[in-house]
Amino acid sequence: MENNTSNQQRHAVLFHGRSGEYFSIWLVNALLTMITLGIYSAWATVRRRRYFFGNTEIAGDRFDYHARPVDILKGRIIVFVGLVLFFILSSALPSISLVFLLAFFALVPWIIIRSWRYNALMSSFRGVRFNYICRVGRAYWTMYFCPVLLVVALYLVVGLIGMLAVNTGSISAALSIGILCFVLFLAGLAAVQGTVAALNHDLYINNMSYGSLPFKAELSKKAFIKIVLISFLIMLPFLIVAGMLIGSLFVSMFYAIAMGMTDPEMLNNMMAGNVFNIFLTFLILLFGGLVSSAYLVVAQRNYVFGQTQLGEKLRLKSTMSTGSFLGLTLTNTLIVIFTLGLGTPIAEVRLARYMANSTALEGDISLLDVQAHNEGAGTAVAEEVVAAFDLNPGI
Amino acid sequence: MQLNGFYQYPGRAAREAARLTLAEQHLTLEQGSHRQLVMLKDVTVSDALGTIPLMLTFADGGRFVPEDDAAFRQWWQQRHRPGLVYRLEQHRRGVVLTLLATLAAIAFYFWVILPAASNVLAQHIPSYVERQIGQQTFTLLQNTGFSAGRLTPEQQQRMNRLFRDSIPAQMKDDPTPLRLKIMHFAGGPNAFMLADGTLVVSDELVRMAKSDDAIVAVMLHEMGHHRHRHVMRMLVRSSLVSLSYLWLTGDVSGIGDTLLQSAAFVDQLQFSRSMEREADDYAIVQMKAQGRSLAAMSEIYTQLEQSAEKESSGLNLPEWMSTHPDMPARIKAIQAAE
Repeated sequence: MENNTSNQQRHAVLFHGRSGEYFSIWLVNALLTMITLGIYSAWATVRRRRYFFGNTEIAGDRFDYHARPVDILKGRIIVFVGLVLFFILSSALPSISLVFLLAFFALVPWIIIRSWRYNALMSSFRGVRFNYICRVGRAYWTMYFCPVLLVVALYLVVGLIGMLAVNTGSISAALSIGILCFVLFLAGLAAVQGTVAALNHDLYINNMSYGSLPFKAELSKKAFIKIVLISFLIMLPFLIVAGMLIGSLFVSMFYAIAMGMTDPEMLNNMMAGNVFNIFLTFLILLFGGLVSSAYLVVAQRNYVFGQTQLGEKLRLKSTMSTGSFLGLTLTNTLIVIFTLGLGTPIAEVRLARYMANSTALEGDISLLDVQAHNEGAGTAVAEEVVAAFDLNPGI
Repeated sequence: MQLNGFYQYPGRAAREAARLTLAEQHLTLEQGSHRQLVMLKDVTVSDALGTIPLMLTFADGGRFVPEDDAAFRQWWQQRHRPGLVYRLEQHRRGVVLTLLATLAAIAFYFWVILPAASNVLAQHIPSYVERQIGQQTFTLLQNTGFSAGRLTPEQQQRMNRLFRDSIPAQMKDDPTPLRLKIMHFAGGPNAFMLADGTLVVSDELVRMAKSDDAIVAVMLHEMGHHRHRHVMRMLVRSSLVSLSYLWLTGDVSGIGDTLLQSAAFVDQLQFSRSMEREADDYAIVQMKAQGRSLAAMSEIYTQLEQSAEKESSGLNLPEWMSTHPDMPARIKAIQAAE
């Protein structure tokens, strides 16, 4: 590595994993997990992560993953026993299960930041580990209190205007205010979603560090709100087409019920006559959802990476595009479905390669002044809870 | 043997060009003019995984990454045989073998372990759990359009008497005793069993039956389901599938789960058809023991088949997709027993 300290240096992220190679690793993992009745799954998890980390290269060096399988196994056993106990309890005493459920929901933000911390501490580059330190109060504010306050405020404002509309007494005024309310509600929803996304990314990146070197990102809420608004606009034409396809059916069903014709057989016949339209509507909505969520993921990642700095000298860069990401997601889904799940490793490698190819680092990567921290991780319970319930809030 | 590469100081991300000389017992590390001798037993080499480059970690936490991974890998693996898992992953024959073994393990789980485990567990579920589940199902039925039967009081009484008389002796002291509910619901003549031994019969079935023996035949078939605890077996089985998936992968969502659920669904249907046969066999034995007419049994089965065909308006599912085995085959089995 030439320690050339020009700021114009650009380092591509390379992914060296190959589908065939990973397929055999994945398959051996699957078999050993099954014949050891699941105990090997902890070792399998570590092997899988090591494969993806170890094949990701920046400037000639690979990432590494260090979690000990025994810790993951312990975490998994605790989560599993907890779940079984919960199911037994809830079938015997339904009232107690509610208390447990509430306690669990109260703990979610704490669990998530614990798992982020665990994974950061287990990941390393050039022998120096990452770190994540976050105040618990801030996590609760970002994940619970702030979103709830924003949503309540939104409903209050829209609700008040709606009340006004009802009180004007004139039908045309009520109608125009109604439409205004709807537009206002969508814009408000975009504002809430964008703000929450900005806070979540801020919580993640600005508490993360590489050794002694902190990650920094100046994230503007306005940019996130704009991204969410555009993703809503992308969904709009699909909604309109779907509405035109299915709208007449809904209107006629609505009238039929309003006229008191609740004969289920007649309603069934109406549905049956429109099976093709219903199916088409479903497909259109599904595709629209895919396109708009692909845009959301890509735009947020590109923006967040563009704003992120490691120390003073290094900048991240992401150059994903909605079209190619959407194509990848669609073909990956088809691969998995048509191979009955056996193509999962191929899909995973394709995704990892795409992600790496559209990521780069700019600046001086000699990292001469980065010192390792000496913090250790305890058990992997939080990490396992997050994996079991899919808790990561869109990071 | 000499290797060029990079040295990393312990606890620092900076790196420096270095050279390593390998011998049988020790290594020599050279950085510029600085030389260091390290015993081989004080060095940790990372575990082999795929083609990820191997690296050496010294006792103080310093690391050396060889530039030519293939050369070092060959040298190292001649002295240290890699683990069994790695060798299995590397050989084409091992992978094919693993694929076959995986498919065999899945089949063994679905066709041997799962039925046996759910059978044993279902027989040992405490009766208060059965009662709880049965009551929940019953409430659900009432909320989805099942109402009280519309038979005359005389017809009701006759049904209750028939029901009491037909309960086999061996089921009289069952921890969850049998009960009869005659109800009215859409979907043609039908009868089914709940987990707590509640036998639900539609009033249309009562009206359709041409003789007492015909009704008793249907009741005995449903009692057979309770005798073999089929409802609990289905429940235990589907929870076992979900639980084992959670345990194996640590995941309760995702595409893999959807695929597995559909596989489990087809398997469930298969399972439920073998349960229908079991219940039929039970009913046939009891009909004979009570001196009732098997001709009446095959007659009402024929009627049920015709009404089901009318309901589904000609939509015929293939054998492997349907919960009930081919009616003609079942009727043939009854006639063979006569």
